[in-house]
Amino acid sequence: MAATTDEAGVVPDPVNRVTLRDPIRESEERANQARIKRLTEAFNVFDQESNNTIPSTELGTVVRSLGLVPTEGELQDILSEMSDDSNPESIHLERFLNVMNVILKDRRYQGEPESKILRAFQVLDAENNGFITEEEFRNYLCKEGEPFNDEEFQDFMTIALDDESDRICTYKDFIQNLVVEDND
Amino acid sequence: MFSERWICCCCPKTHKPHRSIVPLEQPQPPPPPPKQRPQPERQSYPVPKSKRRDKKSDVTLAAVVIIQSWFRRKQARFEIRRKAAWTIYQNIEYAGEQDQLKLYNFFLDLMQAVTKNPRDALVVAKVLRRTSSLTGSALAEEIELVQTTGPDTVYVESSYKGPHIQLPINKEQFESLILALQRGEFLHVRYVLLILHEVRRILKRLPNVNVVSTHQSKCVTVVGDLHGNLSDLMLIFHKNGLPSNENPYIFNGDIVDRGTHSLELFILISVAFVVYPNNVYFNRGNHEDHVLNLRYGFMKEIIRKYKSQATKLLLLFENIYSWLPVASLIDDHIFVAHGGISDITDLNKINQIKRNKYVSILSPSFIIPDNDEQYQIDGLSNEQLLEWRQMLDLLWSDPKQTNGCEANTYRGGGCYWGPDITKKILEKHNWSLLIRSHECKEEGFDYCHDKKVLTIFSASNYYAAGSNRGAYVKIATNQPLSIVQFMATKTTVKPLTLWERVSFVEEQALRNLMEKFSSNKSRLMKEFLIKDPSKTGRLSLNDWCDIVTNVLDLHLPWRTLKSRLVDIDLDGSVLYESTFRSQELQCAYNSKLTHRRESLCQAIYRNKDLLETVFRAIDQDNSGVISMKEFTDVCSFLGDHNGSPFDEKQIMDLATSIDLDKNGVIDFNEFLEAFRIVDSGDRVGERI
Repeated sequence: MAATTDEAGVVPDPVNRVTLRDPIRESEERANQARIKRLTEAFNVFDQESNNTIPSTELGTVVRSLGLVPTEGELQDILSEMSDDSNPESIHLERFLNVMNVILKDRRYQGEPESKILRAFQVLDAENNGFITEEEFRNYLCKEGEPFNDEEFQDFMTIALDDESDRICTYKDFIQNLVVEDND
Repeated sequence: MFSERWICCCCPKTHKPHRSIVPLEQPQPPPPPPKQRPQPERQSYPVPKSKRRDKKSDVTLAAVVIIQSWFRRKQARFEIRRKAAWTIYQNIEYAGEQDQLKLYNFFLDLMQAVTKNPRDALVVAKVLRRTSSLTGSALAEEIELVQTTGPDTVYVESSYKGPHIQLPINKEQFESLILALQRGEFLHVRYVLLILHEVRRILKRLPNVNVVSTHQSKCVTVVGDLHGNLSDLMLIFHKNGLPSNENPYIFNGDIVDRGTHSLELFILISVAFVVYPNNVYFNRGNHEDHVLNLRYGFMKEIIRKYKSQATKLLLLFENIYSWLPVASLIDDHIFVAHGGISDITDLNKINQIKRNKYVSILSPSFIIPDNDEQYQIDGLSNEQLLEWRQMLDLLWSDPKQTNGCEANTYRGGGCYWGPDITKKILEKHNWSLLIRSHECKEEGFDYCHDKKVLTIFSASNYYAAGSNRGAYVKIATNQPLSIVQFMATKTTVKPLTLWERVSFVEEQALRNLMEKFSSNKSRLMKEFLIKDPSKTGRLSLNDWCDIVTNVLDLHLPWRTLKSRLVDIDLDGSVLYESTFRSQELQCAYNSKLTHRRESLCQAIYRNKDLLETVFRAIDQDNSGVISMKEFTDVCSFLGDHNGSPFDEKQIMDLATSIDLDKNGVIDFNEFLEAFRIVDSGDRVGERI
């Protein structure tokens, strides 16, 4: 067996050389690949022309479809990290992947657990009625925090109320609908 | 250049996601929300009472934001489900069209290699030539057409209870025909022929490009693809008024195919055209072409409705298509064509073409030889090719967002053209706007290329109930364009909420996908087992997605869809046998499905459309039967050239078992009907 010399002048021993596999690294790498694929797929749904860009206006939908629950303010932060000043209207796949991969890995923006949502409703239900009227919802959701516009509020109310509506919503049932079932 | 307002009437309350089109009356999209941090990073509550009063508004704020974030996430989920469903439909549609075009290209290639296999050549020539066998002088053609397909070749029996039409056709007859069709009445073939001959007579006098002027009427309405949806046209007439000299209409192609009432629709528009020949305009669409009618349903509809008289109708339609104008020009500055334009579009050149040479735009007659042995595509001059392209591009092209002009491989004909081409062509001709159709849009319309190109699509619910709106555009002199949207709904159905609609449309799309799974079962299982040699029944998500993408050749957001398609194990791996859990392929002729037979049946089901197309093409007399030999020839031919070879012996076996009468002919409709995807648990009735 011919011995080769490497840079340092040391001759590696081919017979006794052992290469170690690093299972942790491999598993991380696999997880990374899976994340990238997941991100790319979600991105592609909105990439109308298959040119690796999406309109900035769709970022919120894409991020949320991945199961994240950022506030509007947090979404703005994400957007500013990945948008391109020369072309603020669209986001390129590469930048999207870079930013989102870290976010997914760090498990950020996971949102409050279901129990906290219940508490949130209870906070708004100051008199402890067990329900919140449409008016009350409107006052809170359309005027405070990160307000809903008319469209969002209307859609919100369609889940809140039963078909033959009586304009009040017992939020305990409602929460079932709000919480997204699927695990991605 | 044109500002517009849009109004949406009589649709169920639907979700209007953020779109690039914003109506003028409303302000621009809301400014981004203020960059505030609504709460500190870690807020836990309930907050101890002593601090409560100070923090109360903070806590409330926090609660509000939580609810808002969760709701927006829910909404986003629905939005992506909706988009994913749309992607499914579009991909399947394009895959279908690619099939057709692949097949067509195979045929053309095969024409080149004709001497090598005369058997193939026969099939190919038959398909492409179909009934365009009227040769000889124009006068001879006229005479022959009238003799073969004239209304006088048919008698109306005394038992006929439907509407009667007589010349001259007038407004009253038009209006009573509308009522009759709304009631679902059937129009006798004699009257259909009568109307079609009248249409033809008038069409022949028209130029290639309709000259439309709003000088007198002050307005004109452009309607896009209708695809056999009679209810959409009724809705349009209801909202916009019937065509008349004061209310002109341009029909921008694709009236027929896909829908269930293509014939009635074409007849209705024809009658309007005959009554108001100066104020109703036809533009030819890519589906006004017998080669596409073979595959996309119009031919089938005619045969089903008119049986023994179908051949006459088909012949006549073929001829009429060739006389349809290919574009319209409104007031010299708005150009209207079905597909669009390309880098070579030139009005002067278009005006000089003898358009009736192009019986089929996909396979014009000068390509098809008189006898089966030779063909001349190599012999076409550059001029001829360019002329063909002018026609093809008008009817088949699609716009794209980036500059340039490239061949449209999705459709196989026409180009993708970019904003620079739009600018160039509009400037060259001094036009200000291009209106086209050809592509289904969720809102029924869409602008692109800096608002210089407007797509208008008028077939609502095109993919499934609730999938999209239709729209039409009204152009008035010296006024902004007015686009009106609509959606045909059955009045008995109560309007669905956003969430219900999304679920419904998605469900249909998913059924389509699951059908594809079932019809590819053998191929999929083979790949699954390669990756799972120890037969654990599980695969990693990645593996499953890759296999499904490759075998089906469909690039879809599988990860987003997976929970609705397959069962997922607790550790995230896919239980791949559940891919076929809800639907199975059944073949009435196989009481015992051996493994090999199963593959063949799936292959037949997958290629059902193509088989049907070719069978129908070679069935010259439209009787629905072809000889055993023709049957096996077609199966072999398609198998060889479609990448999934059919075992000839198996086909023969199958054919023999189907030939119930043992008289050497096969009813191919019956044959194909026997292959169906059914929900698991149903059984197709045993035939043998």
